[in-house]
Amino acid sequence: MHSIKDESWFATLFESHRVLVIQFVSRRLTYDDDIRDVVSEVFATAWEQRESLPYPPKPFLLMIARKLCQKHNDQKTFSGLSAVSHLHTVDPTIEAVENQAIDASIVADAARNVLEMLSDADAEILKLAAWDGLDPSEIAVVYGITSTAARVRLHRAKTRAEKILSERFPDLTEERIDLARAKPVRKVFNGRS
Amino acid sequence: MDVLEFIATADPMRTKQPIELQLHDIDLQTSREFEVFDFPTTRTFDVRRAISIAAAIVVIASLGIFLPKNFGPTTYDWNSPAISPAAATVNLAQLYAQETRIKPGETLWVVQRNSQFNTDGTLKQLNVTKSWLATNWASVSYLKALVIDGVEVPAAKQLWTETSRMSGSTPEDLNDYTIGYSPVWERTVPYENAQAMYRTLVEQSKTFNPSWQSGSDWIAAALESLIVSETAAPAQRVVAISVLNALIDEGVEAHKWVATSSGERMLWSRTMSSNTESEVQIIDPLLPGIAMAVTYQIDAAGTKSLIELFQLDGWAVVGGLDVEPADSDIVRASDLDPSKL
Repeated sequence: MHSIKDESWFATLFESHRVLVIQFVSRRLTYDDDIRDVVSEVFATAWEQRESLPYPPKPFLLMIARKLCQKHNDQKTFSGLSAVSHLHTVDPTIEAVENQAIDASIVADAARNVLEMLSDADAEILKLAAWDGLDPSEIAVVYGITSTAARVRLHRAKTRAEKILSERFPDLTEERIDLARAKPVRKVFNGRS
Repeated sequence: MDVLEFIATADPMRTKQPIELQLHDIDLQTSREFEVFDFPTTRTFDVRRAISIAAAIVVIASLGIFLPKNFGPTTYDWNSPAISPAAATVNLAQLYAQETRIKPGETLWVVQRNSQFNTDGTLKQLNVTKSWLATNWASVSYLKALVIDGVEVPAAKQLWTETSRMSGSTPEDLNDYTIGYSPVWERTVPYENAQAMYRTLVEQSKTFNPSWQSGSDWIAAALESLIVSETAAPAQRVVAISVLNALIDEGVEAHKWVATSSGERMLWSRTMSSNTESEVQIIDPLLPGIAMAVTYQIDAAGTKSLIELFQLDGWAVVGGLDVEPADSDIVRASDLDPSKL
């Protein structure tokens, strides 16, 4: 850890968190130009406020990224996930799952549908945990809440997701999901589709 | 199944090509209008909190609500009969029946459908099947006797099975006495020793979070006492809840212990994943290690209705110990179907 937050410190910060931030923003925005702008702004903000940036910086960078993505989506009035979901929306019935071969994209579609059926708050915290790999203490930083609160909120979101999953996709057994997780998703999503 | 693994399958980055961005692409020279992010600093008294606390006091005073006598740091007498092991078989029925914040019928319904009672109303025995227990681990700690598939489980094993549940084991492992979850639990503990363990854990919790009983929290604690007070009018409780919510919004710790006039210890928590802003959660750690959360909704007229009961791992709440509360069990009011029991 650098004691002096100079350009060398920033270069280290950038290289060690570049992929993380790019992926985080890419999950939430659709277009590459927008993603590039927001990621740049995240790091520029970190540089601008480097003296007050806490350590470890990871959750705080994502906190900045989350707010900038929200701001961006508020302005653009669309989000990456909704674009994805609309492209792949499936009939959330047992038959729809049963009548198709086991395919990773089916499970992914089901997961997207579950996220769609959840409240925005539940969906977001699940994405932070499942997509971005944040633990409750990091989620707490991103949200600006206590770690315990993040745990409770995540727990309840998981419970609600499980309920929807069991009610709407009862045939998506653990084995099928495990199989799907092991396979690459065949459908290729192009953010500009 | 871990639902997070399922959700992960919808990760757009599984198919999306990440953009390329290099250090020299970041423009650090151009002056921009940056949003100022409020990074947390060392926890100190801040103006916002002071204002919110002062506002709470004004609201309370203006409503003629007086702080309870036990306002301020509370010293618990661990040898008090109120929290002795003998009293640890908590009279849930009586406790909730006297709480006007919950519809007595609903709460009693929960208990009565699951349990037998002593003549004084104390919970006596829970009769369940393994299949029920696998998904409904609630209430076990409240009991003197747990009967699974007709076979009574010794008290020590009950305590252990909770631990095993937290560590991912199943009721199938009831014959195994080995404990290996947290340092606190790394021993087989007679049920009667649970109180001492609890005291130890509380002390440990202060190591994890030395400020968890900081001065400003006593304002909230006082409000909480009011919420659970038997003498407070329902309207006063609603006001206190509202003020407390405001305090929490301003950064006062969301969870804290309070003592009721009757000696029970209660943990107040705001429901964080609420789909209604008025949803409030009360966590009652009636026995060491286990907390019962009661979530209810208050409508515009102040009418409260039970939404759900669930048990939360009290250790995680109390001490910031890294215990995954995902093992907690939820019993929703709408799910309470007697045929399942």
